[in-house]
Amino acid sequence: MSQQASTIYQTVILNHNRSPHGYGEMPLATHKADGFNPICGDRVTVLAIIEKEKFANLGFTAQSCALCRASASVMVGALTDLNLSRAAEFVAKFEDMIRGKTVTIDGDAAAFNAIKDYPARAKCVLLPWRTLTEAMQKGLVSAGTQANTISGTMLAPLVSTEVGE
Amino acid sequence: MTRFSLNGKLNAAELQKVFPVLSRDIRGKKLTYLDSAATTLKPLRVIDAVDRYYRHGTANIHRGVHLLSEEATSLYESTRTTVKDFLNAADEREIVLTSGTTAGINLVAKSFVKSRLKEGDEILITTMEHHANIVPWQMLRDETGCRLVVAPVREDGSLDLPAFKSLITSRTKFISCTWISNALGVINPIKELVIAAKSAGVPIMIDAAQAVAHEPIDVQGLGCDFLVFSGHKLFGPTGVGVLFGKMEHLEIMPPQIGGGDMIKSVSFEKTVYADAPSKFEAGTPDIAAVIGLGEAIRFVMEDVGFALIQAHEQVLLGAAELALRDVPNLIILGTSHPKAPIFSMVVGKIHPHDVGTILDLQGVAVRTGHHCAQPLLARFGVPATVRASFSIYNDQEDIKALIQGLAKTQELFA
Repeated sequence: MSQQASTIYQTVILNHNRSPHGYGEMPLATHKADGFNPICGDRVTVLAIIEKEKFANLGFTAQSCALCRASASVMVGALTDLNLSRAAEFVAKFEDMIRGKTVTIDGDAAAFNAIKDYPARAKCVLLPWRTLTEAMQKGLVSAGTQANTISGTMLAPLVSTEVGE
Repeated sequence: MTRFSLNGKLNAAELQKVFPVLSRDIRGKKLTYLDSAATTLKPLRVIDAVDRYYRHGTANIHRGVHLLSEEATSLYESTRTTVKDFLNAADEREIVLTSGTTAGINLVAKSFVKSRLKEGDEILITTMEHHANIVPWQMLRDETGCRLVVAPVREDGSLDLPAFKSLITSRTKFISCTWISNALGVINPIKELVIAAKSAGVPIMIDAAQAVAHEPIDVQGLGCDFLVFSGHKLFGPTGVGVLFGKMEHLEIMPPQIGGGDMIKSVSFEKTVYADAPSKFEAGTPDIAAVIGLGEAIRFVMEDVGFALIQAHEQVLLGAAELALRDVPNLIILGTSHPKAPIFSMVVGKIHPHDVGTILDLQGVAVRTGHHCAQPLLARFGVPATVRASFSIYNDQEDIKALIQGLAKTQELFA
């Protein structure tokens, strides 16, 4: 395999693609949004349970390319159990890294650093993160029993979205 | 004998030398360009013609008596003559220069078809149309209440001809169909489709965007009412295309865009439009691109020739089909013949975008996605494919590079 291919499709990314974190339905999700990339047909659904200003549970389902799927898995790993303001910082930092800014990012998310040189694939990698943002903006899935478990501040967007870019 | 013939065959090695992009390294690898169905590369002859216009002769057309303007007008109009000969049209006034296939289809939809429609009338297209030959008709449907009828495609990618014919009824007011599927490469029996339309007295338009680089066109022989194509799929510049329309139709069609260069006289009380084709060419066009298109056609006709193009492409088609057959878990959509060397592929469970990126890293440029033909891919139950499309400058080495790239992709995702 060429050096460049192994830079993008690093083992850590391929492993997340093969065995993703948080893959599957989440019937008790408090927040949910569907993301779609009309250019390639990638679809991702991001699901979250927010309790005590934290992502108590985060998951997704996807029909997508490997980069999108692995990125969703990395997102789940990075943000689960994180409080919402720290999570928002992480999402913004991840997007900055994909956009080519110099940032220090921890853990498996750093494996996506090479994507900055392949802007056509940035949308694949960002789709789950943007969809999470949309889920937060949409607010509660339904004003049911979960409503009293979260506060209004949690509904603030994590980052500004660039829908339809 | 043309410039690029050698022992009765296309001399691809020599031909490659006049396409400067082919000498570029892509991420440290030799470029293997397999995306000609999206846009073809441009030969030096075309690049030089465009360069010459800007470097030595920039001027507007159809106005001004100075030498530069006269030269520009002459070059611009010479493209019309070249296109007329290329299509074997009866009259060069039947050649409308547009910005591309999409503009041509929209013009015919709005100017020719719309006024003929009433609620319940039908427009017939096929499942294998490009979005450019779907969306304008949907817009008309929404405006007029007409129905959009879609002729089905068989499992092998071929058009279901008996179904197509049976869908032509007394309600059918217009037919618009592609000659070659941009997504599958399947070639429709276009003459038969035109005969079916004409025998029912229904006007027909041919979308030749994909066909124009693979098939010689004779609009009089075909008997079609309209035919559209884009310059950039015929080794010419982007931003220019052609609408051929029978004179009797163009004469009665109202212009859709008003402005300069499309009038005989203008006063605040009344404007008298110019005759066709000028009435459809309002505003300053992309003069350089039009000049480039003329040069592209002369390149095809004088330097290469369709006999060599077709023979060369059929060799590539056969060789690629054979080689792709040995790639495990690879499915080709659109296996019916006749076929242009365009391969829409599903590579196991690997997403087309991943295949595309890994091929790109090997220097192999392919198209991934829905190819602006979402309904067709939905017909085959896939959202996207990897499309490799070959042209005159491709050779056996390119097939080898594709096969090696696919093997590397599968190795990575094993």
